[in-house]
This record gives sequence, structure tokens and C-alpha cells, in this order.
Amino acid sequence: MSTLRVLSHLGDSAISWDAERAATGDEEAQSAVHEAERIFAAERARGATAFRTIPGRPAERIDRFDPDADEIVMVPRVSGG
Amino acid sequence: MSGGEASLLLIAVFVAAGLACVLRPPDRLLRRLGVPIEPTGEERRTAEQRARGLLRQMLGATEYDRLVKRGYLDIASPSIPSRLYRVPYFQGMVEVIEDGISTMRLCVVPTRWVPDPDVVIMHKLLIEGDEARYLRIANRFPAGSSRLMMPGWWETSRNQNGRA
Repeated sequence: MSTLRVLSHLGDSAISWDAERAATGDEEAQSAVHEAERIFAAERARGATAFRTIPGRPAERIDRFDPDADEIVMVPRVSGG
Repeated sequence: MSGGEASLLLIAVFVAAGLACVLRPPDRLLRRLGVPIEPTGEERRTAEQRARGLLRQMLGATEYDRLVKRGYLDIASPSIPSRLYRVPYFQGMVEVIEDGISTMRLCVVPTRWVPDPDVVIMHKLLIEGDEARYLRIANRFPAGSSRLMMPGWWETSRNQNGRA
């Protein structure tokens, strides 16, 4: 299962999908992928930055939604304080 | 519409506008309209709990326990081998340490409130995944610049006590 997490003032919200089932044409899985992709685009438009994370390895910034990523974490817009 | 009716209508509009300013619309209505508002105390507590869980999951139990015990998380710079970023668990500036010496402090904040553990995640991801942009965004301060500035009378009384 893959997960997209969005950090926000309510804590993180998460949506999960099964990339393998989506690849075989499963409609429910594909719908979850599309929803995750829509959230990804909406958050990017609000200034969020996305990172692909793998336990034990440094995070990697991504600019495009990757349905095969195990976990994507989106951090909100930041500024110098 | 006569002049009197128009005046009454105008007064009614002014009164309604005044009431709207004095009586805040309910949060539920604002949320439904998509207006960003500050989370309530209960929402903050729930958010903190979720954020702690996510931070623990991302760091692993050992690293998370160390962070809680020490009060900071050290993140190695991906580009400069001798550099560490010391991220506080609670609000504060990030200390840059090079060869064991604090060289500057950085201030990077989310534009909206997020729980403290999520701020740690934010720093970790930005430093590891996009260090150059993190440094471009950050406001820089000299090392040790967070020292509390004490008033003159405090310093004087300390010196006197020291002499006595």
C-alpha cells in the first residue's frame, strides 16, 4: 500500500492506495490513485512541497505525483521567520 | 420606493453590518465556507497526538526517544559532511553546527500553525530533500543570538552579588 500524507493544522491527513491493483485495472484502486493525485496537485498549488520518504534513507523532493512511491509527505508552505 | 423607506433600508443595512462585525460568525460556518481559522484547543491536542505518532514512525522508536530526551534532533547536511542542523523539538531556531562549533541559527516557519512534531518533520524533509531551497528561505542569525537580553539592573545586581 502507498500513502500520501498532508501535514496541516489538524495533524496529518492520509490517503492510501494499492499501486499494484491500480496497475491491473482495478477501478476502486485507480479511483484512490486519482484522488491522491488530485490532493497532491491541490496542495502543490497552495505552496506545499512533496517528499518521497523511505525509512532509513534521506527524503527526496518530488515535483510530480508518483503512484509507485511507498510514502509521500507534503509539508505546508514555509517562510523565513 | 419613497425617501423614508430608502433611509430605513440604509439604516437596516448599517445595523446588520455592525452586528456582523460585533458578533463573529460561528466557526462551523466559516469552515464550511473554506475560510482558514485557528484550530480549537481540542483540535490542537488531537493534532499534536497524531503528529507525535507520525514523527515516531518516521524516526523510529530509538531516535524518537532520543529526541524527546535531548530536546533536539541532529540532521546531517546532505551537501557538507562536517555540518549538522540541530532542530529543536519545540519551537525555536535551528542551530547550524560545523565541526562541532555553532556557526549560525536559521529561522524557517510554516505559514500556518502546525503541531510542533510536524515542524520537526518539516525541517527534516526540507533539509534532507531540498537543502539549497531551505537555506535560501531561512532567515539567518548569528550563533547564540537567542540569548535573553537582561536589563542593566539585573547585570548590576549580579556583579554586586559576585563581589560580595
